[in-house]
Amino acid sequence: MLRNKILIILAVLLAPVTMWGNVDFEISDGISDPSLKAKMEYQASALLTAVNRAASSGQPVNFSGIEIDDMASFSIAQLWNTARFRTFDDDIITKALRLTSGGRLRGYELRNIEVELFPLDDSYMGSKTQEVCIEFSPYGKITDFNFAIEQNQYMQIFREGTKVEDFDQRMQILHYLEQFRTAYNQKNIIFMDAVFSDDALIITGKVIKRVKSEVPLPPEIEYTRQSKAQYLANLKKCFDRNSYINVVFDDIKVLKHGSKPNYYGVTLTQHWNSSNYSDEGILFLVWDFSDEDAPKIHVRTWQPIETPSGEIFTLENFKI
Amino acid sequence: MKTKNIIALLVMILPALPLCGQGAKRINEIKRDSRYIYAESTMPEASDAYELAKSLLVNYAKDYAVENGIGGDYYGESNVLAQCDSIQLNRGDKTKVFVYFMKAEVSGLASKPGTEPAKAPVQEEPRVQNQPPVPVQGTPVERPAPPAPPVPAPAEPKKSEPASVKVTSSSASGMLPEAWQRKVIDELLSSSSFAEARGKLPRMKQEFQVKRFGRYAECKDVSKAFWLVGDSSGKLVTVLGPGGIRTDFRSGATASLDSYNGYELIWFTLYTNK
Repeated sequence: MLRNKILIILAVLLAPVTMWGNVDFEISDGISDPSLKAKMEYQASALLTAVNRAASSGQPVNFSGIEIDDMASFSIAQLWNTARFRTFDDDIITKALRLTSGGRLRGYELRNIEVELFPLDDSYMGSKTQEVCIEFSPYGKITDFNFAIEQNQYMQIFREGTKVEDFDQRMQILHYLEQFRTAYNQKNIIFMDAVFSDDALIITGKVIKRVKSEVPLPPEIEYTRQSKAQYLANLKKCFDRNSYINVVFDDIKVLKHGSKPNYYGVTLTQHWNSSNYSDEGILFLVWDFSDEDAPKIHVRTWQPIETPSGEIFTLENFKI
Repeated sequence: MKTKNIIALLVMILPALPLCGQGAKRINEIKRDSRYIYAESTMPEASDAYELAKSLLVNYAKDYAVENGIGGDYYGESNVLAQCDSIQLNRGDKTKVFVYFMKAEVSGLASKPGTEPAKAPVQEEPRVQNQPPVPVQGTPVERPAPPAPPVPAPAEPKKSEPASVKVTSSSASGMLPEAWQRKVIDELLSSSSFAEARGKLPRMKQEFQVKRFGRYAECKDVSKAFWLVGDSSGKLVTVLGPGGIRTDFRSGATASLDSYNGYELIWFTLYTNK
């Protein structure tokens, strides 16, 4: 009898620590319209509460009552297929960032929302702490949901910007990089099909194993060119083979094309962890922001991490 | 599980329970207090998080100085870093570092130290009780944390009749813009006791009608809150609306919160837009 009473006391005392209930969300700065601010706070609160409840119950996330774009709800559902997640805090305060394009307001972003991952595959490798960012339309509807790039990378991208227009486009690049990275984690082949231009140049490098030599030689790398169709077909097979994919982007450098202002070259280190395979490599992407709502990747190259720095692809290697 | 093992487990867990959430709670208090400037960073290594957070803090301080036309070096890097404090939280396999300083201290306009006891910086929040704190390389400047923001203290208990001026609207709750807000107030007013009304608030929070609620001492902005008012017999006297001159939703008259000194008071806020 005493033992049962003690167990009940234990359960009651630990309940606040273990139950994932309502998330209170507050925007501390960044939105002057109180009505819009209240709406966004409510939407963020409702969405994160739904996520926490789904994590607790093991059910899919219930989006009813939440004003959310199909793309955003699809993004969350795709992530849910590989890992559950829930917020660390149930009282979150963050600033809203304005997203602009050509001087026009295109929405808002809420960042610094930390979540804990519960991967469905026990062999998952990588950090189980992620930051998410929620994007809103100018009218307060949730339009996107992504895992954020690590904060120091995010700051680095902006430190390199010099002008306001450049700042806007760097925000966009960051956003699309986060979408791109999240798409791998979601195994979202539809996004990959949309983001690569039809005539995209895709090059993959492979280190050729040399016979051992007394004199250390630089690595010899063999390059293979693929069409978009070939690349996506191989990527789909990879998605099907692996129960989870965890991609992290690191050491991101962004360079604007000298004569074509809508083109950016992005070089980064890609850490790839999946249930069947892991590697590190240097990814180079050429992004075209001529259509701001649907930027395209025209060039994607992957080189092994040991590639000498003088051989890493840059904008200068490609005629655009 | 043997009874004595369960008791041993309780003895280990109980002291840590009040600490759960203390760091996060303090961080949110600072974020809500406009007297502070803050920055935060979450990284795999605590030292990296600390360095990035400090770098961000210095940038935010400079932005604040420029936006407010504050010259001199008050908000310069050395001043900011000399005055800042930090709070560190475990975030799974990463560490969050939150750094902050009080604007008045940096600009030399601080008033005399308050009577509130200075709080020691909160170093760690154990999410699971057996996680040890992670040491930060490069110890932050050790200073007592700034005094907590003043909390409005209840006035001396004395009962008085509320002042009343009739309003012309047909129904007091009808002054609320949304039908669901009027329904919330009417449901609270229909409670047979103060305890019953108070007991409805958690459910209303779950349903995204009530945003927050709490005791008088926990209210950060008295003027923006609604209030449940109860008397010493346990009766729900009324529900008051926000503002300096408030709506008494029971009588339809206007009233002041000051008129309810000595009454039981619970504050709550509603979502204003869904």
